[in-house]
Amino acid sequence: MTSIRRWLLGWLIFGLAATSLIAAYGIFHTARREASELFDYELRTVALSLPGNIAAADAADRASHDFNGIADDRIAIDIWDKQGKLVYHSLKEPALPRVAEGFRSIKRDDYSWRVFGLQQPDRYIQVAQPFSVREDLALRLAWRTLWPLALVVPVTIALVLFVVARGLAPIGGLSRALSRRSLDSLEPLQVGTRVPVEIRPLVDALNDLLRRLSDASQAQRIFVADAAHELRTPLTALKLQLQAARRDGTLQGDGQTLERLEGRLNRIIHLAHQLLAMAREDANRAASTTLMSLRRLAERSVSDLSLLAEAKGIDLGLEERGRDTSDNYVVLGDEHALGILLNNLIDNAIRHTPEGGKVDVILARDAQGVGVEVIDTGTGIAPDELNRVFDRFYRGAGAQGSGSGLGLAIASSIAGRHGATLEVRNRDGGGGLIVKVGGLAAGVVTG
Amino acid sequence: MRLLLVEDDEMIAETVLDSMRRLGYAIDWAADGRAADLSLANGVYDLVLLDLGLPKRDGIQVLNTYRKAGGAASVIILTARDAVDDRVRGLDAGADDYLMKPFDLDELAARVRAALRRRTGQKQPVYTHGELALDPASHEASKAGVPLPLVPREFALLQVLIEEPTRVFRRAELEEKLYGWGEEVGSNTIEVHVHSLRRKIGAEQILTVRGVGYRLKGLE
Repeated sequence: MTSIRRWLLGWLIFGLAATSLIAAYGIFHTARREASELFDYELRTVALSLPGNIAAADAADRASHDFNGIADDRIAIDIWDKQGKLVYHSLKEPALPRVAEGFRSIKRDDYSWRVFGLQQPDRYIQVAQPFSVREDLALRLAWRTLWPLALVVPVTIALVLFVVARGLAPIGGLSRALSRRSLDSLEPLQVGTRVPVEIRPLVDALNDLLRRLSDASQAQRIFVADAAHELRTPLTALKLQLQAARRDGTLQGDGQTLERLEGRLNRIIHLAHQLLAMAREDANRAASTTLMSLRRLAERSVSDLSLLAEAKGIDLGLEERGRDTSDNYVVLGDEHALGILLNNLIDNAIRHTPEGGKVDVILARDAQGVGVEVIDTGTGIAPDELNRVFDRFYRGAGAQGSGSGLGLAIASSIAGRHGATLEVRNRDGGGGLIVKVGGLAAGVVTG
Repeated sequence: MRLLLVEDDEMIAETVLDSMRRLGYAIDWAADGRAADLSLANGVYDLVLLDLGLPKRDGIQVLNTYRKAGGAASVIILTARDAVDDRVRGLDAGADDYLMKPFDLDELAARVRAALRRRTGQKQPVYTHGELALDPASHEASKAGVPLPLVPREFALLQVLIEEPTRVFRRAELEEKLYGWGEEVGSNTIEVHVHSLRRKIGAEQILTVRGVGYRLKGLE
């Protein structure tokens, strides 16, 4: 993942460090050259200004001469007479070999020396100095220039960190505003009034997109709701007519045909009902949640559907995983929506379970929160179709019942809105389906 | 008993009018909101079946006007809207009951009967459910015409169940209904009563809804 912040900080700090190093090297180099010129001049001056009588003095007597000032600079002076005999040597160390006239750099015993040779009428003077003296001075000079720089670097880095953080703050704010939003919210972004001009077009474009999306989804919701609503009136008329006609015998036809006719009609009614529920669920993104008992809700759903279960000869019951029968499984949720979810799951289970089967609604509580499972003894779902069950209008390949194909899609939408999981899997060993709603936020009743 | 049906869909109206007349009610029909206002202002009705989505005037408005003018008939709302808000709005406006489209003719007839019963103060009708019959006034119960020898608690239990035959009663609810405040109720008292009642009226008559409670068996 690329990060503007890391990129900026990396290049700014690396660049600063690199330029500082180059500058330091440059300064040291210049200082050394200057020191070198200075010392060359000194060597030359020393050679030229050596008094003549020094040649006459005994080499052993040299200690009496006060060359201390010069000796501090570790200058070695060697003087040879016309016969090539070493007549004076200033340092205790053995004399350097005689080299040619002028400036030379020589190496002896790991030490580099700068040597100046001068031929005078009666003697040959050679003045030498180790390079290390110059290096020391160059370092001292360079350090004097560089130490303020060494102080400035950390301050600059701190400044860079601060400026980058401040500069990127609006982007961070925008990201946070985006991540705080609920997944399905189409509200315009609120990022405050002080949005920099560079980000303003981005925010405007996003808000424009959100607005158009919101309009489109609003239009779709209204259309679906209207359509479902408009469907209901003629369906009611049809159903009433059919019932009345069957009752008073004005409708001719064998009983089986009429029954199938009514079955089909009920299926269309169910579909219209589910469509409306779906449209309402889509529109209800921001519905308020309250503390409610999942046990009461499950009792109601099981009660409501017990007639349907009885008609199909299915044993429908409410169970619980926990041992505490006084546990009401209080959750924070939208009671109406969760009721629809549970009804859909139980209704589905009853539809897909053959006569004489069993449907269990099981309340459970685990680390993820409160959950409810609906387990049936139906045929289950082919494994390769399991991932399609939440698709709208998806009905299993072998679906016999009169489902609309919307039940699980609605359930999934409601579960998603509650931050809960909805999981569908076949029972181990086949022969049934487990639909599990998990991770409902457990509520705490106070007082 | 005079009824008014306010419904804009002709086909629905026709069927409802027909079946209500068959049941012996006198019933008029208003096809839109304004016609409904007129009928309600001039006629004396015991019960109004009111559709909400009406042309010209919304059903809620019709109901508001009617209640403000002092209209006292029972009102059952028939609507294709099922949003919770609409239901609350309808009941707030003074409706007595609420029936969602599409509904069954039987259910409509039952609601009409119940509303009229509440209205005429006939609190204790003879309840019937399949072969079972229970008369609270004379404290008699019978199955297929044969009197049932029920002790008071069994009778009370059957009455609770037969008053709302499609409702599942939780054990705690039954305890509340059968025993007064402060009365000591054993943990399996209700099971004992259900068991003894089942022996007298037939075990299949009372259905156990696992984990929830009891209700009378369904009729279909």
